Amino acid sequence: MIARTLIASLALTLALGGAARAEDAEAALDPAKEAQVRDTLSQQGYDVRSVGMEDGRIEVYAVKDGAMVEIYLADDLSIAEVKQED
Amino acid sequence: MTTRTKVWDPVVRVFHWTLVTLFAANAVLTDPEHKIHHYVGYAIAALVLLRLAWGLVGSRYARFASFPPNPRAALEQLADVLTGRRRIHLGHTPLGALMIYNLLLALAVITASGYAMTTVAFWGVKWMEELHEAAVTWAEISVLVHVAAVIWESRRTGVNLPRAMVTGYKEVPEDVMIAE
Repeated sequence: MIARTLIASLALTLALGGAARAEDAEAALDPAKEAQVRDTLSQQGYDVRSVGMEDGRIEVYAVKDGAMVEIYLADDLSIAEVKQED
Repeated sequence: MTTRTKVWDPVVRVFHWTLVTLFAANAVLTDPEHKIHHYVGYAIAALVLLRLAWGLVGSRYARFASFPPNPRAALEQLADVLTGRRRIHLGHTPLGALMIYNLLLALAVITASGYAMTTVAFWGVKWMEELHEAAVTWAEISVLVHVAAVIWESRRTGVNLPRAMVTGYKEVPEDVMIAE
């Protein structure tokens, strides 16, 4: 009984963790839009590593002048926020 | 009647339960983008390195030499499980040993890929992130199998294995054969 409860709660905990990760993988970005984002940011000197969606915003992982940054874009694809990894 | 044998030294036990706590914290609780996730990851890497060193210089049953990977012995243990034969191992069982190497390897991949994700070379590189997540999923499945197997084997052999990992002593019923 205790064993079954333990395994069930373990499985539930891990499933919750998995669900939390699955949320990160949101709807894929339109490839044409992604290409446009890559172009625009590359012209500004960013080495674009990946483009995705987070919390409904376009999120870009990039490197510029050796600095690792996460860039969030506004609807018109202008830079709304730059978060630097320290 | 049972005979009581000291098998797990304090380093093995503290390693085991600290790892349980830190792995659970990073798998379920912490935000992967937050510093604390990274610090917990470094601590796990340090624990793995400590365990590797202890596997060379630790007490008798902590040493890798006492539980080398042994597929034949693992199959024999599997046969014991299937036929209900009660035969115990004082140290790590052959199947348990394989699980330990599996978990140590998975943790090495998880911590190395996790660290790589914070370096300029691999920042934002998708396949590194996917490797990290796949290794975590593999480790989580392994943990479930490990816990289920420990409960199963405790019932089959009459030796309370979780308690042994707390107290350090295996209490073996007298009518049980010891395979070593």
